[in-house]
Amino acid sequence: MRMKVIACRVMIDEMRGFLPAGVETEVFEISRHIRPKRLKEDLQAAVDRMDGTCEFILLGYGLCSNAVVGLRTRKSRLVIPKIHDCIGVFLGSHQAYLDEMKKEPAFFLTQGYIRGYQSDRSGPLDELEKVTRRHGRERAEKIVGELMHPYKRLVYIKTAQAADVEADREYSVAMAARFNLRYEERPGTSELLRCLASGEWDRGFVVIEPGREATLEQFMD
Amino acid sequence: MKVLEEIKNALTDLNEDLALQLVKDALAARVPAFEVLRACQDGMTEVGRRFECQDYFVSDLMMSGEIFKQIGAILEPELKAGGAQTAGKIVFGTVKGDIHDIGKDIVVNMLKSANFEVLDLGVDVPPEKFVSALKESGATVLGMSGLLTLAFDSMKATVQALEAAGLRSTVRVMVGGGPTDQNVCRVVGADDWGADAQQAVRLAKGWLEPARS
Repeated sequence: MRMKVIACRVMIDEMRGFLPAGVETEVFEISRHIRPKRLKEDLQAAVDRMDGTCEFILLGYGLCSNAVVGLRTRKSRLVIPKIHDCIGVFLGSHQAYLDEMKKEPAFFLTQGYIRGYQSDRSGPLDELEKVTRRHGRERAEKIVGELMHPYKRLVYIKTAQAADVEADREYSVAMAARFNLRYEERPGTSELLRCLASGEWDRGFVVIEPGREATLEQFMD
Repeated sequence: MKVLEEIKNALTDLNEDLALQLVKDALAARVPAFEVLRACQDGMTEVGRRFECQDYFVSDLMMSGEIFKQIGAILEPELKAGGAQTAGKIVFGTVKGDIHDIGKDIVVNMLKSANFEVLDLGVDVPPEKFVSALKESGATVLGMSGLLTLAFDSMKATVQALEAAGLRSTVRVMVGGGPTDQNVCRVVGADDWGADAQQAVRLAKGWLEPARS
């Protein structure tokens, strides 16, 4: 087996279309990001399980709150997109993400995000429901309102790989309305994931050799 | 003291009304404000622990911050009336490119409650704005916050701007926010970092109090 994959729920569906048939994958839920130190431990444990059973372990993660910093292998090579997080992946680059945020602060959604939120009920709408149950509607509105207040718009990034976009649109429009955000759509790309899955790692990837570990510096400009 | 334990527990259990009432009762019973503050800080630490254990959600963390903000507003005049002059000046902000302010606000509130004079520059703060605020205020501590990892580049650029402005030898720099750790602290060139608001207070005290004594 040449490659195996460890990926976030946000990236895996978009990646699958580019992966050779039968590639072993391990998927982590999106909510793992909330506790990055634990995510790092879980990622290392998953890497250890695959280490030595394949030539390359591909990570469907970016720097992701530093969760990938320090990951290491003993035998396989580790390949990680050189990107801060998945919004940059789907917009095409970290710079594209910075440019979008500079235009006007946005909360981004992709099909992977929506499926991830639905899978483990960890999206802002779910958070609103949880906090309403625990602390009442008035406080919930205030708290989740604060969580969302930096954003002015909700941008759904539509990639070519996305299927059943209408359901995504319905989810996104409802979420935008709930948090008083302006709804926008823009095309995205899965090119970085295509390159990751296809072994085109010359640019935009961090490749960790056995015995070495991923460092923060490798992800910074 | 029983009331302090009750305040800590009310905050830990996110019982807003009870926590606020207990704080008012404690002050009315002449319990020193700084002791009430310490109990609240202990409560916030316990909230953080429950979050790490997955007993609490993100929104619970925010709820604790919200309650703490209100307690801080009650304690602030008492702490000032206690005769304590400002514990020192701190410039604080979320760095350029990052617009998240919840964590920053919790730290700023905690620092203010601990009697520091905090100049809060808000979010998306460019390096030059930090530099001019430090120059104008004469503050010798800078706190930089960031939720996103893109904040690291901005933190590093700000430390470099401090060096270019000749301020680096006189200004101590702390960084914090979700993804921050010792490694980030080293890479961006800060002096220290904090995993939570209490640590920010400890750092500020360690840096500023010896200078005043």
